[in-house]
Amino acid sequence: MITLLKMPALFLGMLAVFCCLGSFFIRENRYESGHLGETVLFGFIAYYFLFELISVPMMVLGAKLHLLAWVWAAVVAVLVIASICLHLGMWREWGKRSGGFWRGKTAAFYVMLVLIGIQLYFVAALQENGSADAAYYVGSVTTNLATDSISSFDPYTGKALDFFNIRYVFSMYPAANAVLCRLTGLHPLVVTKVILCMMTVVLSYLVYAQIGKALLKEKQMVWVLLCFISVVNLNFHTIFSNASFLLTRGYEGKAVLCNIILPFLFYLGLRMYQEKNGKRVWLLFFMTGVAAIDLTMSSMMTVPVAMSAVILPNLVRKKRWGQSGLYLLAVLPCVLVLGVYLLGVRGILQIPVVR
Amino acid sequence: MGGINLNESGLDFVRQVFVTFGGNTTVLTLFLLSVLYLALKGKKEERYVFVTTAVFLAFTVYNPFAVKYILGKLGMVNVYYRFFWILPMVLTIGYACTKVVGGQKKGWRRYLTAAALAAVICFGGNSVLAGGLPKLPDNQYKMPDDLLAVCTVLHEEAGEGTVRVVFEPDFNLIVRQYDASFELVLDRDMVLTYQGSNTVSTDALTEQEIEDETKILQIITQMDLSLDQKEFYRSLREMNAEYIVLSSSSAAVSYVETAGCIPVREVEGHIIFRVEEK
Repeated sequence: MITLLKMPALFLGMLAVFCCLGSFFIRENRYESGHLGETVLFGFIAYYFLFELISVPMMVLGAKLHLLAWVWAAVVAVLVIASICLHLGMWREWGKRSGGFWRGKTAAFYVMLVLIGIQLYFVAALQENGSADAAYYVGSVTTNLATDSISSFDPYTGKALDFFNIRYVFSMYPAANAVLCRLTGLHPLVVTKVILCMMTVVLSYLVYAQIGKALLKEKQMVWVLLCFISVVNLNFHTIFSNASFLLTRGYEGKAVLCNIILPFLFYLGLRMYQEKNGKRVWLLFFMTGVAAIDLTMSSMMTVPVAMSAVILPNLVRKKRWGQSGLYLLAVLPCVLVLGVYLLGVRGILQIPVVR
Repeated sequence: MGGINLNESGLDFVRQVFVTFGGNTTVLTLFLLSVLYLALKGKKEERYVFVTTAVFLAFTVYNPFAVKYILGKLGMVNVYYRFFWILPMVLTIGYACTKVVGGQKKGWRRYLTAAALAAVICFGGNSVLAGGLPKLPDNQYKMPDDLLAVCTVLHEEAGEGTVRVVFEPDFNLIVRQYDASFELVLDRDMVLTYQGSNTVSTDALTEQEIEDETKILQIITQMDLSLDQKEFYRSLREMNAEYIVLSSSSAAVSYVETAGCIPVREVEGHIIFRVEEK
C-alpha cells in the first residue's frame, strides 16, 4: 500500500523539482510566462547537469552512496525553496492559468491523452526481462544500494572493482536512481522499470510539444502532432529504433538520450534559429551536453554530432563566426569524455576505485 | 552489428544499417517522403529543422567514407546504429502528417485525412501492440514470481550476508536487478558469449575463469553432460560457488546431484543445491 502511494508521489515530486529548477531559466520580463512544459524540460536538464557535477567527484573520492543521497537532497531542497521564494509571482500566475487549461480543447487533445495513456500503461505494465542491458542499468542501482557505494562493484556479479569501468564511468544515471531509491525507500525495479519509464514517455512528449508550439501557427494542431508521433512510436518497433527503446527499454539511459535529449537539442537549435532565448541557449547546450553524459556514455558520440547539426547551419546562415567558440564550448564536455574513453579502452588511463 | 560487418560491407555499410534500423517497416520510406514534402512545402523554419539538419548529417556522420575511414578507426562500428537516433524520424513523419492534415479545411476532411495517414503508418509499421496490451505484471517488481520465491528460500538457507550462486542463464540475467546480495558465479558477458553473442567480450576474465565458467555453463544449460563430474565440481569450488539453482525439469539435475551437490529445497519449479566443501 505504501509503495502504491510513494510511486505517484515520486513521479509528481520529480516533475515538481524539474519545474523548480527550470524556473531559474525563465524571466518574466524577458520571456513569455506560461511555458510550463519548457520549464520542466529545462529543469530536467539542470537536474542531471548538477547531479553529474556533484556525483562524479564524490564517486572518484570513494564517497558512500548515503552521503551522496544526503548531499543531493540538501542541494535540491535549497534550490526548490529558492525557486519558490524567488519566483512566487510566476507560480501564482501559473496557478491562476491552470484552471483554464481544459477549456476549448479539441477532439485531438483527448485522442492524444488516450494514445499517451496507452504508452504509459504499456511501459508500466510490461514485464520483459530479456534485456541484457538491464542487468547493467538496473543491476547497478541495486548494487549501489546493497553496497552503499557508487559504481565500485561489478553490477553483473557483485565483485569489488579495482578500477572503474571506463565504459560507464561518467554515466551516473544508475547512481542518480540509487539516490532516489535511498531517499524514498522504493525498490530499484519499481523506480526504474515503472516510474522512470513513465517519466521518459512524459518528458519525450513534452519535448515534441514544445517543438510543435514553436513551429505550428494553429496551437490546437500541437495535439494532432502528438497523436501522429504516438502512432509512429507505437508502430516503429524494430531492434534499434528510438521508439522501441522508449516503450520497451525506457529505464536505460540510452532511451532518455534518443527520446528526450536528442529531440531537445533540435528544440534548442530551432529556438536559436528563431532568435529566442538569447545567450541562454548556449548555456542550455552546454548543460545538455553534461546532462547527456550523466544519462549515458552513448552521448559522447551522438550529442556532439547532433549539436553540430543544429548549431553549425545556424552560425553559417547568420554568419556569426564569433560564436564558434561558444559552439566548441558546448560540445567540449562530450568530446572530453570521448577522449577519456578512448584512452581508457586502450589501457592508457584507468581510474582506481577508492575504498 | 546486427550481422552487418564494416569490412565486408564497405561503403554499403551505412545503407545496410539504415535499413536494419528501420526494420521490416515502411517508416524509412515515410520519413524520406516527409523530408521531401517539407523541403518542397515547408516554411523556412521547417526546412531548417527537418531538411537542413538531415542534409548536414547525410554529408557527415552518414557519409559512407567518413564511416569507413574515421568511425571504423574509433571502434564505434558496433554501435553505429545509435547515430540514426539523431535523425528525427518520428518527429518528421509526425510533423509532415500534421501539416497535411492542417492543410485541409476544418471538419470531416481533416478527420478523414488524419485517419488515412494513421492507417498508412499502422499498416506499414511493426506494432509494439501486436500481441495486445500487456497484462498486469506478476508483482510490483515485474519479475517472475518463482524468482522471488527462490531468492527468499536462498536467504533462509544461507542466512545474512552475500552468497555466491550459480543460476541458469535466464535467472542469471535478472536476479541481481531484484536482489544484489547474491554474487553471481557466472559473468553476464561470459553467459552471453557462450550463447553466441559477438557484441560482448570476456576480456575482463582470466583464462582460468573462462575455463571454469564454460564447464559450469556446459552442464547447467544441458549442452554437454558428458563432462567429468569431478571436473565440474572442481570448477564450482574454484569459482567459490555456494549454491546452484536449477529448473526441476532440467536434465542437469541428476548430474549435479551425482556430482556431489546437495539438494536442499525445491521451490516453485526450481531445485536449490548446496555446494559442499569436499
